[in-house]
Amino acid sequence: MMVLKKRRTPRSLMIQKRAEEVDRISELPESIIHHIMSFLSHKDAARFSALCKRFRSAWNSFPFIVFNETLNLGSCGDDLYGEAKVNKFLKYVSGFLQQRPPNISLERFRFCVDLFEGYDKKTHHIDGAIGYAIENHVKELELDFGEGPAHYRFPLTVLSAKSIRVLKLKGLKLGSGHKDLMLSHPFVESLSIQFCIGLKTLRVSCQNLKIMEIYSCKGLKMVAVDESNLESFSFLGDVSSTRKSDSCSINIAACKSLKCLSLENAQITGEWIKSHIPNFLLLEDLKLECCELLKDLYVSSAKLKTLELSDCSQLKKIEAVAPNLEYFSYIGQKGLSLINIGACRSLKDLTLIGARIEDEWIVSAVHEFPFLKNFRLFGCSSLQKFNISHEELETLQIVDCDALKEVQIYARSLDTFVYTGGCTKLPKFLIDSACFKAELSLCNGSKFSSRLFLELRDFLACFGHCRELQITCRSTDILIVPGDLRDSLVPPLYDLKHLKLHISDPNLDELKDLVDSLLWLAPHPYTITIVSGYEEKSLKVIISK
Amino acid sequence: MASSESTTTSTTTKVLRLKSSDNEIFGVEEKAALQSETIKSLAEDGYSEDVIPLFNVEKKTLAKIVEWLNKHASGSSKEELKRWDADFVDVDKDVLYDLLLASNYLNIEVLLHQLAQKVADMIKGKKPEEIRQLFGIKNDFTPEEEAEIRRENAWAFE
Repeated sequence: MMVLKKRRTPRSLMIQKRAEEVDRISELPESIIHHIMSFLSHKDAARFSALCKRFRSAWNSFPFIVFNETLNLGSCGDDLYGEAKVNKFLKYVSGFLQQRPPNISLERFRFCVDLFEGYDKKTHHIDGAIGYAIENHVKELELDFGEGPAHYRFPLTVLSAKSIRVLKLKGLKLGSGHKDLMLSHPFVESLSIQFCIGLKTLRVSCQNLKIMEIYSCKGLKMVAVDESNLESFSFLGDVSSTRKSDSCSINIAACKSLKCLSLENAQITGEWIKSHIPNFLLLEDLKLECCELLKDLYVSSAKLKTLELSDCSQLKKIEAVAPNLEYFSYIGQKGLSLINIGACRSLKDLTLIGARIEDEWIVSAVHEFPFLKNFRLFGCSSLQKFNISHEELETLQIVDCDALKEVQIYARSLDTFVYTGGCTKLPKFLIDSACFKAELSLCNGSKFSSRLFLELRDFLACFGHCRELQITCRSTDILIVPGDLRDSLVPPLYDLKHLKLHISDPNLDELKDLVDSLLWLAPHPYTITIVSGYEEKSLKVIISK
Repeated sequence: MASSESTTTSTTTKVLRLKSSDNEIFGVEEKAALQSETIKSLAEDGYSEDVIPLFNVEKKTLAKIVEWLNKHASGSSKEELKRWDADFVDVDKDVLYDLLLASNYLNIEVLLHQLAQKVADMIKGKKPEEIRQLFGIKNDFTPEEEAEIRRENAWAFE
């Protein structure tokens, strides 16, 4: 306190005023300026460096370097194509590197250029830039030459760089001459190889490797990882090929520490899963997508928390025995006949998209998962009539389940109910819950008849007791109930307090009719909110008795 | 804002004494103080029984730093800490610079991160002139030099 009082003498005030003019930010040590720059986007950082000499020099020694053809050429690159464009970019790169002082340890070096079609040569400019990164002990090296068709020939010197911890390669031609690469880099922790060609087999033996990604490498026949510290492995099979003979075998049996495994477009079978998964004792996440050879899937795992299955078109049967599974999602189209996940007692989040499940399955499944909180049913068109009775359920989403006729829900904890569907053949919902929010999206159909309004009235009446009702539709047509019907019917939302309407394509001339109709649908509201496009307009309703 | 840190005064808790450059002494529980790598190595060098002198930090700044160290050793929840931190870095620019220098000197990585992030957030998306004005940065380039830099980095100014 004493100090504060002293400072308020007139002399100190003068000093303080002067202090305001003193530029303290550029007096900060360079390491702090670098730290601040590292939180800026590359563009903001470049602009920042043009403010004064001190920042300029900090920029030249900034240990994060990004070269990106599209970004660095800006609008200058708009009229340039092919070789001319690449050359202009490379000129920028060498100009930039020339200004940098020597011997700066680089944290990250990214180099992204889209090579034009027909490009098939090394240039000393690109090699020079990569060489610069290596000479300056780069830790994270990312080389991105696009998804093809041109590939840059990979300078193998990179693999002998001891400083590298993170290596990301995209659009390169690997392996010069020999098609079998044995990668044994003792320090690399994360390795990503995407859209690279020229490799037939890849053996990886890097004792510190934790994360590995192999995406769409044409011609790759075998990946073998012999590393017990690996925690995450993601594989995407060559997306440009449809031939079975192009399949790539995956040998990761030695990866005992694996926590996350993602296989997409991979030629793996149910037997592979059955024999491998139990060996990965620490596995928590398993994701399988577009794996066409999967027919019967049996997953048994003690630690598994997440299981995601998407578009494995031949999948007929799923059985999971995973007592700690919390999240299960299935996306498919047809063919599936059995999902048996009843042993997964910890399940909290269940998503079924396009699954051919029957009403009875829902009823028994919900009983088997006492901790279920979120349940999503999308496009399950074999469902017709079912009951859900659950104490913990918080969110229920029913979207595009066309054949649905009636659903009864007893869920004390229900917070959000979502329904999306057409506005004919509306199902009947009986929801026994104290305080939930309902979100209904109705796709507009054809002409509106009296019968349709009657149906809609009955449908809306299922939600008269909810905390808040939100209706989303394209136009207002379906909500403007004809006057003669209003006279003869009972309003469906008699007790509703909060009504919110989202209209994507509103007709403002109808606004008065709409409000009239809404006040008939819900005669005693506290608020009615109408959102059109991005604008939110709230109507404050004052009811005079 | 009240936290439980002051109520747990067990006899075994060791307290380190930190001395600011203007000779004010702050007592800080060892667990809290050792979040600073600099204090940690000074303590290991045998200063722990005595007063640890921090020649580069004034008492007003050290008081703030001690407040941060205590909060981050108090076992608050992640959400609570996040809110508290946002308030903590919401200070005048002068205080911000003092804290940046102090956390750099004391080598408290988490705090240094938060402060650098705060300054970066103030810079993000602003025009060069706005940033100069905000921080009082003097343009020390000649017009020719500035034009050259703008030309070289034209992409950043689009």
